[in-house]
Amino acid sequence: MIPRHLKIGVYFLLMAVLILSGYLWRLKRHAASIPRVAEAAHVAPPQAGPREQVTLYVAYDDPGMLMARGASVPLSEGRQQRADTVLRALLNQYLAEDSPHQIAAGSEIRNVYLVDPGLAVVDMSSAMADGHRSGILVEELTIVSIVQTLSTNVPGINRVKFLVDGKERETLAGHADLSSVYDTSNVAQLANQLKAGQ
Amino acid sequence: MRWTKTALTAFAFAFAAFAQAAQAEEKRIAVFSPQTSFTLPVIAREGRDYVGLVEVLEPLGDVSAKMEGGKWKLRFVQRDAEFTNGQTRANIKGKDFDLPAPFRLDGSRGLVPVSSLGALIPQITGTREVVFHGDSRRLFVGKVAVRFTAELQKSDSAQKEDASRLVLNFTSPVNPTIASELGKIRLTFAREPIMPPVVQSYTYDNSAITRSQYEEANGLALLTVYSSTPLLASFSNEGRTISLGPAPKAPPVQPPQPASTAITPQTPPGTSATPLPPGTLAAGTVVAPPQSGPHHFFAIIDASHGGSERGAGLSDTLAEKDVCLELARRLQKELQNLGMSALILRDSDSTLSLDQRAAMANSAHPAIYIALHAASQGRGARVYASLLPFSGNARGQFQPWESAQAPSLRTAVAAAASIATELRKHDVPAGVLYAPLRPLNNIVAPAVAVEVAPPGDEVADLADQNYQQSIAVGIAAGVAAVKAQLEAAR
Repeated sequence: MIPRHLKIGVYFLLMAVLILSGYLWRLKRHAASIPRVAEAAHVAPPQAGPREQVTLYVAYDDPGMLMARGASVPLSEGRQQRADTVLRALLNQYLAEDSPHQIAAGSEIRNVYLVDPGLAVVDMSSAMADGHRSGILVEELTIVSIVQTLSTNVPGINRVKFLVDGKERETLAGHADLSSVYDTSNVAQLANQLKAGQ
Repeated sequence: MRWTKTALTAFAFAFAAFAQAAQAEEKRIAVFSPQTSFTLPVIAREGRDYVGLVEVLEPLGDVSAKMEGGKWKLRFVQRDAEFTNGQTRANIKGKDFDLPAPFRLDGSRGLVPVSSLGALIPQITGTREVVFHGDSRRLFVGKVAVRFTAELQKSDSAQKEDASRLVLNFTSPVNPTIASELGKIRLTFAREPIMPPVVQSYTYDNSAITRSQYEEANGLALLTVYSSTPLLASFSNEGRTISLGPAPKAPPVQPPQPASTAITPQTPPGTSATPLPPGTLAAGTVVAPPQSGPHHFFAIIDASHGGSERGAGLSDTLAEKDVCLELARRLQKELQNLGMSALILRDSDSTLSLDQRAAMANSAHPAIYIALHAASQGRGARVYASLLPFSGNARGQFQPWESAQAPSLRTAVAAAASIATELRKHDVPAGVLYAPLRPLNNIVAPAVAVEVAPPGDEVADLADQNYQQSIAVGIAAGVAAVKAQLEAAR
């Protein structure tokens, strides 16, 4: 003989299951009716739209210097897109025929990940690292120009980490350290030295 | 009053017992497997040694354990086992298994006797190749054994017995901790699954290297080599060979001489006629603590790159590694001429990792570390101090590895400036910069790097004897100018 209060409890639970099932079915129908938004994959920087003046820190091999150059690039509000856009603009300078700091053909920044608080992870292509010229100065000019350009134009970055094809690597081309995390304030100090052409 | 005395005495005994227990070395068990090697603490229960079974199995594969129906049930990959607290009989894959001592539960943690592992682990993992050294608590799971041979290579001359070397060849790369005491050098293998040699104690018919003794204890393998002279260990063959030979004697410190009188003709790069000056070590040498005190060499010179790593290809025939080595030899001579003992980390064409270079330099406790590089870009020389990366804060006297240079950076910058000044005095254009260049940031002494560029348009001039000599003299003079500062910071 099942006690009465237990029977009532079971009926009550069955009712709750039925009601919640109906509610779930309605929610699923509602979700299906909402138009799908594009997947949050890597968004290409806008090629048109409002342009903004940014400062690129461009390396010059001949005197071994870093110079600040203004450039007008299409920028969006998002920090992620800003980071992508300014670094692509910087690399375009180096890939041009009259580049002051030649880098290998096919070099690209595959992605920039902004990881709060303050960390930017720059993933460069293996073509860029493998084809980079070897030497302390020539490698540090590349690294410093990327870090300084990023931290100047994208607010809130105080550390930068480099990856090559998504993986850790010890050095860029035998010299500049890629295993550590760069402190943007230390890099800014070095950028000032390089701007002075020491 | 009497009670107070008794209480104090009891407290003193308890404190002494606690202090003794704290001083005693913690018992460990070492587990070696193809996936990883690790150590676990041994737990004492009723006078027997126990170990957590899940902890042993966890790195070897998927393992889970739960209490069910008064039994401790374990699942490793697809194999089930059941244990009962206080019982010696267990059930593994449906078959009974007898432990040499009762299974113990420590909360939800299952403990098995250490002495059972040799038989228990093959049953649970299904791996037949399990070897357990019970006395030393070393467990080998799978085909992991590293074996070695020891061969005494005697000097050709009977009068030069102290030049004999003991060469240890291992089947896999090893990285032991090396400690030197008076009359012996001890290699401790904590992570390597070293198997004992056939003959564990061997006496050599040699006055310099007299005996070697292999032993195992507390999860470790130890090889002690007894000698009548201080020994140094040098690594080669990518860590598979360790040579133990007599330590070089420090060169006699000469009074400083004017740099201009120190120029000596040198053999061009690529030739091997230059004799090794005293104080140089073979490639990959781990510097053993010197007998005459910790401050043996004033400067450590690191000829960058080497072996399979060419560095920058300066031209079709000129590699950065060769220029660095030649320059290192010249710099060593110049520093010695100015009364500063110097050691070259890499004095042959061999590969050394950045961490190995840092460890070797730090072991030698120098007053300054100088890394040499060469490049085709620019003119003259560039002197670098470390651009420190982002890292954690120091904990007491311990610095994070990536910013070990931090306390010495100020002195390093002063040394870099002094070197650049002296280079300019020798007609070599030079400037000072920071650089994100390893292993500068891992060095605990003031560390600088000098990147030498050609004097003009011709990259081949990097190999020019006169140019290299000017660079070496300039660097040595720069170091000499801040010698007192470097000594004070040491």
